[in-house]
Amino acid sequence: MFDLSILIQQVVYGLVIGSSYVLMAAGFSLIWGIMGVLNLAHGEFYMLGAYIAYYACSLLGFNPLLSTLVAMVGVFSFGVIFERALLSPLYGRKGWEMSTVLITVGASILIQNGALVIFGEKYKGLPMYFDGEVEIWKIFLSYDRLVVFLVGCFLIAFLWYLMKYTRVGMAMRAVSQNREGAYLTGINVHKVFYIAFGLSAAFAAAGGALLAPIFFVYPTVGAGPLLMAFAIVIFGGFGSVKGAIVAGFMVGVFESLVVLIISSAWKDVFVFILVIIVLTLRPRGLFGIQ
Amino acid sequence: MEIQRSLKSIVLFGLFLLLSFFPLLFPDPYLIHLVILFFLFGVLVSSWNVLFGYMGIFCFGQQAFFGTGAYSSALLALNFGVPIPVCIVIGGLFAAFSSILIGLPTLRLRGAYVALVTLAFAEVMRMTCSNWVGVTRGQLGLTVPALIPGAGRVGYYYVSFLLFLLSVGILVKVMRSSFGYVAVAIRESQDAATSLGIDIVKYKMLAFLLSSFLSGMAGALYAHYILILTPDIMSLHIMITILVMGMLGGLGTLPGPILGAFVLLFLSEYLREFEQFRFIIYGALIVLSVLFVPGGLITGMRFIGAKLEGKGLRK
Amino acid sequence: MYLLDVAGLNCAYGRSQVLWDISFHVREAEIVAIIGSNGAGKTTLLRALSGLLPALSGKVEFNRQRIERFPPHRIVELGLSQIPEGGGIFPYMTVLENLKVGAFLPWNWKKMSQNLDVVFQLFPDLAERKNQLAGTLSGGERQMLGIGKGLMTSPKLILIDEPSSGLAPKLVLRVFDTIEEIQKRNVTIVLVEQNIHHALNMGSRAYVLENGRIVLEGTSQELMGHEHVRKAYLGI
Repeated sequence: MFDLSILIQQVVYGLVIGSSYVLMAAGFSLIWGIMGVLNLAHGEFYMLGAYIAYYACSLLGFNPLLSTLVAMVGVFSFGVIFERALLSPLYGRKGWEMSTVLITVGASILIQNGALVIFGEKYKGLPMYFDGEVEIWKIFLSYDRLVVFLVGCFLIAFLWYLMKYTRVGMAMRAVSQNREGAYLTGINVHKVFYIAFGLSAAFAAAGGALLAPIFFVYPTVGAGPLLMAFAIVIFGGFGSVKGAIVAGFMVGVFESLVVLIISSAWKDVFVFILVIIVLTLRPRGLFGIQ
Repeated sequence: MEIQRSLKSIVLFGLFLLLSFFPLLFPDPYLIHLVILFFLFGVLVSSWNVLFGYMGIFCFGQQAFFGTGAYSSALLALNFGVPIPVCIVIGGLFAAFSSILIGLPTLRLRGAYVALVTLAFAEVMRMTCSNWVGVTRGQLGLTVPALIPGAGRVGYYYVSFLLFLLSVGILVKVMRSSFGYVAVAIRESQDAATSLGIDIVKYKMLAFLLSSFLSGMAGALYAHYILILTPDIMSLHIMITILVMGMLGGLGTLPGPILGAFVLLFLSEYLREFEQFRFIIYGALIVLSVLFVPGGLITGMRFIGAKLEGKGLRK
Repeated sequence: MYLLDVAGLNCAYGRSQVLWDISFHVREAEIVAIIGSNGAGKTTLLRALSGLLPALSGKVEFNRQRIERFPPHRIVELGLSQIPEGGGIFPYMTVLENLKVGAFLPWNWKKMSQNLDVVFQLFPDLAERKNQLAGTLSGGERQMLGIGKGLMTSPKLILIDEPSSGLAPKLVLRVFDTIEEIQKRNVTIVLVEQNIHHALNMGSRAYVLENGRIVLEGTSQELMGHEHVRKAYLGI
């Protein structure tokens, strides 16, 4: 007979991790909706964000918010360069879908192993940002996790606001809904591409930076979040940011419960089974457009 | 045209002779080991090419077929004492069966989604092998009974050569038949193919079955040769290696993957000192290949061949 | 002085050439029609003019500027807009948002409320449905929205691709009335149409496009009386 508070504790942990998953998934979904590209190097942006936060914190003594910001800015720029150098040459080509998948796979391998050589394979541990924890109704939440959740939610809200109310966001939505129509209103679609890509990378980096003290930092740390992002996007519906948000929290909680009830070794398997089930029953996902 | 064709036949025959007598000409066991790996990877990449290069199915889980063949064959031999050649074939069948599991969810998906589903599936299988310690002994590894107990490399050489020839033969036959045309049609446009009355689901499943069967047997043979089996046989590294070999050689052609396997195996020999940079180089090769040489080495060679004939590039 | 001057334009999709040696011109405040049946290359021509399809060779001069190598957004900036078939609208945005996107370019953004007023005046139906999702509009309303969105770009010249396609006759009349209204506000119009009656009623001049080539040109009256036109397009 489970102690209910343990269950709720896990759910809360799930929500915390979920907020970071949402950041990963929303970016992934954004790129898919706007550019039609499946970025298999997305996990590497998470990883880079984690490493930047690690060094910003341990070498420069930055506080977590600043570290996350630095990570976001740095990886945003990297994302823009990535899009311009690797993706934009491929757009006009026949079979560009295959080409973009292959090039992102190649880039992923390159970046991951590059990180391996530069940073070493040792798992780096970042000490807690803050000490102590808070107690709400018998649920314990470390300050670190609280920060992760709050910052994560803030970024999600920021993305929502960006998409809905700013000129840039409108341009992104327009391109994702009717690319030709967007061209014809004077929107510079290529600019939208690299800005969206940079944003998606920045959000993934934020996820990595925020979770750095909770999980270790190592070169392949992005692989798990990538698969999670993919599972979430399938679950929530490709191209739907709203879907990514809802599904992200749900998957975070689900994973957390699997860890509690079964074991942490099998959590990926179960999330994956969930995805297969969703794919079979409702291929469009919760809020899918395409 | 004539010259090119007879030249091609002469070269192929020459290669066949060379490979048939290779162990006698070059008895260095390490060299023989490399060629054995070449045969096995040649089968692996060629069979993957049916899915990816020819039919345009973004299968990123080929390593699961390789590993499933290996594990099922090894476990069958260890636990039930089935004669090993039979195990190998059954290993191929198990791999084919697993391809149904992997392939089924992807049938209705388009392009790149398939990539991640197959990738995830293969990862899950690897994790299962790793965690299911009771059966597979996980990371500790299985000790696999040898196909040819006590023999030197030479026996394995000819068995893998046989598998290689068989696979290439089957693939040539199949891809030159109407199946090959259908595959390319599906790759070019699934919608157009459907409107022509092609049952895409059937052909995709057939491709998965063929591809996984051959890969599974290669995996089983590998297990009974290396004699140690760990879940790493299903690691992403294998998939990456397949990818680089295919891209380097040229996807969507028959000789491409084989050429790629050859080049990469011997390239990695030279790069032994740079072992830690190996995958960086692989990643860079893929990126550069996509950007500048999407057709792989084969396309380059054909181009040169056509130039030598004084013609333009023939399609 | 031509506002739009096209000479020797050749276009291809990959290896198959679709447009051959296209030449035509449009003067300010004119309405010019380009007539052609399905597959003649009408949409391809419009895409090429708007920069969506690169030209193999030839010149496209708009307002005395060579634009054939310009990216699409630059061409819209210069004042050449297009209303593609179906309106080019964004189905998951509201009517108002669609119009706002039309005013995307910086100086248009500033003139937004002015332009919105004009559009809502022309299309009171759209004003009613301001907050409705564009994807839920009927065919005719979508066309109106498409035209409205095009107007938000403050164009000097609008290319319209088959404005009457799929519309009931009453709506077609409304659309064409609207186009005339627009012309009165000093916007030059190039109309691409399958329906010869509509085309020749609207335009003062017309060109006939067949299999990717311009085969005839003349005033509406001239073409109406032309034997080939009568046989091939009017079934007489």
